Amino acid sequence: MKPKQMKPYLYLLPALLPALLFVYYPFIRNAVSSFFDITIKGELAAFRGFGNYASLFTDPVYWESLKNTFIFIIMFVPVNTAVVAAAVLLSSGKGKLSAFSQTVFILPMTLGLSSAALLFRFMFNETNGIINSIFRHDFPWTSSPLAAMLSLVFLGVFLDLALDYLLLLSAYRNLDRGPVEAAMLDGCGRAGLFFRIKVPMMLPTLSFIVFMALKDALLICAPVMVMTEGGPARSTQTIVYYYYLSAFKNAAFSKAAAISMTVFVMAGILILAYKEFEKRRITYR
Amino acid sequence: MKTVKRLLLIMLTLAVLFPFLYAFSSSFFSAADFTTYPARLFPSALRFSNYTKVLKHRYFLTYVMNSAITGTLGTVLRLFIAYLAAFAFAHYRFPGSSFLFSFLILTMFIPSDLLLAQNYITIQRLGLLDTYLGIISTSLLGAGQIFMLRQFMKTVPEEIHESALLDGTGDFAYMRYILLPLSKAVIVTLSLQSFVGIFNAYLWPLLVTNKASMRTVQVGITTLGFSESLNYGPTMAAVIILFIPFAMLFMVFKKSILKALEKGYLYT
Repeated sequence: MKPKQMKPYLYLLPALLPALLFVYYPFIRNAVSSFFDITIKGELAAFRGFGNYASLFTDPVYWESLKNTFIFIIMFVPVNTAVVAAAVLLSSGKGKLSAFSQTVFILPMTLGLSSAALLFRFMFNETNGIINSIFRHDFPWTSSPLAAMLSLVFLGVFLDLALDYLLLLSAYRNLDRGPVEAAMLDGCGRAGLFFRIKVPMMLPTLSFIVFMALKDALLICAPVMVMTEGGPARSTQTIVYYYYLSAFKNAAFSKAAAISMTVFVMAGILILAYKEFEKRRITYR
Repeated sequence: MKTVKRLLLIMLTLAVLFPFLYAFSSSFFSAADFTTYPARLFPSALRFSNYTKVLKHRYFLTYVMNSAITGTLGTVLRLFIAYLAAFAFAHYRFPGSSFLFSFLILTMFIPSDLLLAQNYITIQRLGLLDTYLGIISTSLLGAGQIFMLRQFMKTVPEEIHESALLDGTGDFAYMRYILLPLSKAVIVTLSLQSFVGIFNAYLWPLLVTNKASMRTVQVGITTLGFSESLNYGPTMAAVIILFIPFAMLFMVFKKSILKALEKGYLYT
């Protein structure tokens, strides 16, 4: 090959190396590891076939973590979507209040994950937290599984708000005026205009936000670690947190590998489903 | 209808703003202020002892420094790598280009949190635990950045590149003197996003650092040692100290972020 033809490959090399070393190699190694016993040092020992998976599927904690993750998904995704949509619709105006709100809604981006989680942990303190003090009610944020999960949902919405808000806001602002004006000329009412014209036109962005929320919820780990530590009684221990605990607290590497393989499959299904949905969606153009 | 809308907006804005206000207010609490029941909204007196405590903490400023170093180093390297790759994809036709493009973009869909254990082993074997390179290793590849930069570079007319080549300008001179000034807005936004992300990273830096002197700030903040007691004051002071520079950065760049977003140059 002439040196000139080599050029693009050379430019790509710095990107390909980390892709291989920190994504594809560990992915394959993880897949292989899930069929072996792994030593403390991370080396492969005896071949176990599907043994790791078999013991995983009979492990009640695995199913419990999976169940917790699904409860979180079911609570988080609708709340997140509703809050983002409300934030955009309410603040899309031109006034001073709208401009102020727009700034506020992107502020959470500047707060680091663990800062936010510590702050929420403090605010949602059950015995002496400010939230219970404001509402003059003893919500069992740390003793009831459902309330603890709800506090985690609030944290999740707070953490994801900025980027989701920016995405939906720009979609809303860039709505093609043509169909909207045509519908108005045809005497379409405000509600009809909103539900029949604007919502369908924003559907691509909305479905992307829902997809990202599903993915984030499936993979949630660090906020759980800092805010609830999986409690009370493991009720907020999600599947990726269980993966983390298995690998780094219990040194159960083969189990961790098997857990992560099952989550990879779930994430893969989610991504494929989203692509399929996008393909079939009626496009309004 | 309009009043209802305004009222709802005020409520939602307050709800999002409240954590910031409360963190600010409680950063002035004394230890006793944390034990009053019901919880108080305002400090009993304006005192800065929490701030002095944090700033005098043995490691806090080291944590901030480590985050600033890894954030800067990681952002520069990531953008440089992405810039080169995007250039190759946008301006060259070569066998395997679409395969290599998919190969890189696919990494966005492989959740890195599920590779923590394997990557930890790799970093350990390379002897990179407790090093800056170890902390930024998994952030070096920004597939999203490659994608966005390629999208942008494709809008730059190919004739400019060709005439530059005819004039005897090399690729690097072209990238440096012609393409870079054109891409400034995109690069600023992508860098800002990158910097905030790496500066504030939590899970990975937590794993690959054991020495307190190598910890980044989001990891350090959970181990400041104040949070075991009910006295959250110093922790909240730390939260505020970290928040202010970023908030200012975002105010300054709000317009360019919004602009980049409208053109579709931001991603999640």
